[in-house]
Amino acid sequence: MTNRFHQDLASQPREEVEATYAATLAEVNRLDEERQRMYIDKKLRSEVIKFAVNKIQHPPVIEHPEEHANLIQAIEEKNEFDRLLSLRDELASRLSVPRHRLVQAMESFYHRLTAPAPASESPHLGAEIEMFSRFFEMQAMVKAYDEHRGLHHELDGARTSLLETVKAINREDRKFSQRLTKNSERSRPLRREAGRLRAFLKDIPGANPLPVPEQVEEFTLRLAAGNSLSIEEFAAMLEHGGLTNFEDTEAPAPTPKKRRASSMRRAEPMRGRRRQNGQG
Amino acid sequence: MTLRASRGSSPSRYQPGQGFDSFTLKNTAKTMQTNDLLNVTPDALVKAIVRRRETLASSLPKELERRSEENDRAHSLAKAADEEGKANEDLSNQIDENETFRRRTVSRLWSVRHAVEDTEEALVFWREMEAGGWGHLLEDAQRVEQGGASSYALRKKNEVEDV
Repeated sequence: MTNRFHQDLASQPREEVEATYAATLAEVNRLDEERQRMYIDKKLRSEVIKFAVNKIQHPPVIEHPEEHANLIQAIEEKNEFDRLLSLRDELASRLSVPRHRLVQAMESFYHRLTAPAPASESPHLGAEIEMFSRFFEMQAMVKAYDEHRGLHHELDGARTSLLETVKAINREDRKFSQRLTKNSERSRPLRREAGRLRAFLKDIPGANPLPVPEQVEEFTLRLAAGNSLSIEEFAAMLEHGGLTNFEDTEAPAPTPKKRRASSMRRAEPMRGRRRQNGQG
Repeated sequence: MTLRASRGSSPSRYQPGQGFDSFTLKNTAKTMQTNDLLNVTPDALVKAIVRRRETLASSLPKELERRSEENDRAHSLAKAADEEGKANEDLSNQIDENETFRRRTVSRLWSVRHAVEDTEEALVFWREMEAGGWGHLLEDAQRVEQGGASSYALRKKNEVEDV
């Protein structure tokens, strides 16, 4: 007896239904594979962005650089930015005093060393020697700053460029999310149809057609890419042993039922502490 | 600075800030461009220091003379007031004032004497430097030129290590 879900299939030859089932299943698998690839790409983008904004220390390994030119560019720009940043930090820690302060101090020292002043305001010999020495040290420091004047511009340029690249990757990521949603939307009815065909072919009487389940590996990828899961997907994961062990698709072995303790009172005498009457 | 010592009074207490010129229309601040400061050579700076020291040295004998006179006058005033004070007890304020003035003049006289000594010593030193012996004064500058840390950075590092 054909149930109401398979009425349209009953009139078709079995071979034709089998062929349709195989084609549908192949299409479902193709979409699944495509989606998995996209999730891996999405994860890669996410990690590159994390690396670019300094949330992780090492960039991800990109196996096919020719397919991810913008990601390679972002990693290279971040490395260049880091290099310039360390150069700037090194210069700042080597000189320790900002350039404008050096110029101010040099001007003051020069004036005190050379401008005529009364004896009471004139620096003594020790101070003169110190100022003379400092003056030329500061002169060398200002020259060092001037030699690295381009460094700040380069650093600004590298920062701007890196942010632009990250923005571009983010834009691509949004498009990717749309593609993923479309893929899921296309896959869902096909999976349902494949389930219906399979149920018909296996001749399950009165079966409510279960859709072909999604590949559980996909959930890991989706979670790793920072995506959310639906309630049904969570339920599927819990059914397969929880969030960390959802690859185990086999149903758990039935555990022997624990015999419930009888609610009836035991007839045996209960040994307890003897009641004291207070007369002993 | 206006000295009122010639009129028998103490010099003005006004002291302009060191290394700073008042910024008025008549006397604009002498600012130097950074490039000018970067072009100053040790040789030129030593010469400028010697020139300033020589100017100062030429003015010091007069200053010393003025301070000596002031000190002599303060001594005689203090001595006179002291003798008068023995006869008249009402002059105690006058005695104190003269004694304070005397002490102040002694201090100023010693300052000038020290300045004279310092200037003589400085002139000897900077004239030696004028002959090109400033190398040891430029050790810090040479270290920075060769890519080393500045003395400020070294001091900061040492402070951090001490903590």
